[in-house]
Amino acid sequence: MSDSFRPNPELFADFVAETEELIETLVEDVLLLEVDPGSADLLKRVFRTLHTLKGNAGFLNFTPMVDLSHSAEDQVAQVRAGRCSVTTPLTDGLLLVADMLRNLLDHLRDPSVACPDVGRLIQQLARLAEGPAGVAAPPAAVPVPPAAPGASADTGAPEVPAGEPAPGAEPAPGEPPRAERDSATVRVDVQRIDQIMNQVGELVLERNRLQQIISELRAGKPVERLEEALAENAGRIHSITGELQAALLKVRMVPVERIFRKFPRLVRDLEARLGKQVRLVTTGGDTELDKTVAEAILDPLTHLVRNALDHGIEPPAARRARGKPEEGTLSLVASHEGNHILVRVSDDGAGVDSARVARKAVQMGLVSPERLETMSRTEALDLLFAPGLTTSESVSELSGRGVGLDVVRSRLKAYHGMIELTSEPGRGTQVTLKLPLTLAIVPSLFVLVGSQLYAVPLASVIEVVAEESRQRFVFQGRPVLRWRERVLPLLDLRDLFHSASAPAPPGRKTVIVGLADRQVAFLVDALVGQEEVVIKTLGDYLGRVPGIAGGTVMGDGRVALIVDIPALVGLARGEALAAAA
Amino acid sequence: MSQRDSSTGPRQLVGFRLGQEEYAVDILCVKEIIRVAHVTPVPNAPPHVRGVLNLRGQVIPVVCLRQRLGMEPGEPTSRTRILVTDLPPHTLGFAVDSVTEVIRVPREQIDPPPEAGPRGRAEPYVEGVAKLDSRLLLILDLARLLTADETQALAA
Repeated sequence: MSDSFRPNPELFADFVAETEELIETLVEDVLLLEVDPGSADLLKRVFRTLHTLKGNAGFLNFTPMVDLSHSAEDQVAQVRAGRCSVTTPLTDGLLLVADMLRNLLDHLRDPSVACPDVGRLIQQLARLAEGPAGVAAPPAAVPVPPAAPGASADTGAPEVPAGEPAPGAEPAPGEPPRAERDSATVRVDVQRIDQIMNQVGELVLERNRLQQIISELRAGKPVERLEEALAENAGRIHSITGELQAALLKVRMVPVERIFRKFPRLVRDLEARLGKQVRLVTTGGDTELDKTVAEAILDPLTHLVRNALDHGIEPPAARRARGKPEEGTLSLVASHEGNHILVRVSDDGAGVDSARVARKAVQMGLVSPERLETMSRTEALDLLFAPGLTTSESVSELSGRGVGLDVVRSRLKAYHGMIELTSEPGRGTQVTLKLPLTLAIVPSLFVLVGSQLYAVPLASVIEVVAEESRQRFVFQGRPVLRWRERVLPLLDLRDLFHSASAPAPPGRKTVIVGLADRQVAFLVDALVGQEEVVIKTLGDYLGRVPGIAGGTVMGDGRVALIVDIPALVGLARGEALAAAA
Repeated sequence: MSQRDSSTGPRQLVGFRLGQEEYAVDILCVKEIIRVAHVTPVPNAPPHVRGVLNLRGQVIPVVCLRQRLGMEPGEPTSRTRILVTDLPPHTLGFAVDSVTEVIRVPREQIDPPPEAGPRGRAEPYVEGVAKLDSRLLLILDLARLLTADETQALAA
């Protein structure tokens, strides 16, 4: 059936994008319906969404999707007709439908993914209509995406006897909300495009003016106040291109709400599964950020939310015993700070026991017992980011495998992000992600190394200090810099970039850069200035050049290379770690 | 490249010099020929990569074809040109000593590469030899050259 499903690629991309959106809307509305079962309006919306899903799938002749949406639509129609009411089995069933629709989409996108069997779910839905006796637990056949290997043991369990809507058991718990995988498309408000068209129109006018000046000059005609005319022209082009750049950036921006809206479902499933009560509060959903960045934070956020529910928020009884409300609160807050977006995940749970983290780290040989003595609480919490460390006594399916925070941090690193964790025992944990608003245009510091200019993304520059030899030492064979009571690895960009041909000039500068929570010092010959640069790739042919993140075209048409801070920090840390071992 | 082989008309080639030898590439893969612009060296890149340049806003790598083929690197002169080539997925510049001509060569005048005779590092990439009145043009298959580079990069 689905093997014959090969529409033209453009149509297919539209279909996938729209279906994804519809599924998301469906999940959202079903979750709302659960809270407000009497709402005719919500019911109507769910019905409509299912109907549209069916229609779209039908248009492309994708039978399993048509059948599934049709039977779900039938159920909702029954409720609308007053023949039955909104019950947990129904909402559970509808959420399973949403999951199944996603699986079907996965199959369409990648035919090597087996086409899931919709038959059982359809039967189950049909039984719903027969009244409470016919209510089955969600079928064991719900495919679990390979991304959640931990969950498979559970879903492979035999079917729970019918009639028992076993709370918190099956519905593919802990399944991560998914990013819209087809990140190659953006939906844009027409107004924004119109704005860009206007600016391009203005740009054309300025070009024409310039051509006119040139042809007058060529014809030997004196141009009145030539210099002034050109300056005016250049000024206008400058401001139009500036606006155009800003407008185009806006096109790439999406509200963080798009990411946040994926969490109610996750929290709901985890809550049921873990037997905890959690209220999810999101604030600042209208904060805009680059689509790429938005997609980049989805996985880290999912990790953090899971951690908060699994380790942070206590079971109701424990909370009561501690004098807290039984229902825990998990909040997601987004805000802007300069050129960065901050996303904060906080819970009012048990907090992190830093002493236990430290003990665990010693057990695992990550730090020496002597080092532990002198460790501050902040430093101990920092150990949470060490690879392989988990504070959980037992490995649960959701977390505790020690692949948590270090993965989160390395993900953020790749996007020039930072992560900060604070925690108060008994009061809760707060994790803040800080990411640049956009990755396309980067304010940068230009530095001179040898005879070449390099751009260093300003987001990662913490401070520039004069080269002071009395602060420089050699520690275990590696140069280091003492900076604010800390000892940082020191790299000379002349060595890294092989530009030692001419002797280093006097008065070199040290640039302190920070990535996530790691700092490294770089020696450069001189600072040249600051400019916003557009990052361009060096192309597939060169692939990944060590230490270089890309290139940018400067005002004079030359190419300056952009320093790959994450790579260099990694290099410096790697060396430092190797030396310390 | 298969379209080219299946057609029967004369082949259009861009001829250029590397040292004493004359080479050519199929015109279909040449996007444009530019004078040497400012090339920014890229540290830690392979030695035959001279650097990157700005081609109307696009940053493209420039390969020194002499070095790539195992010859001594030459100093850029006023006759040095960069062949900007379009070899999907790559857009790449090849620096050559000078561009001599754009010519049509009837297919009968193109021989397969000579089997014997060591021709240095260019040999694996010579796809044919064009016989002109008094000269021979070695026709290079740049796509093959890039594939070799990629394989090498993967192995490294």
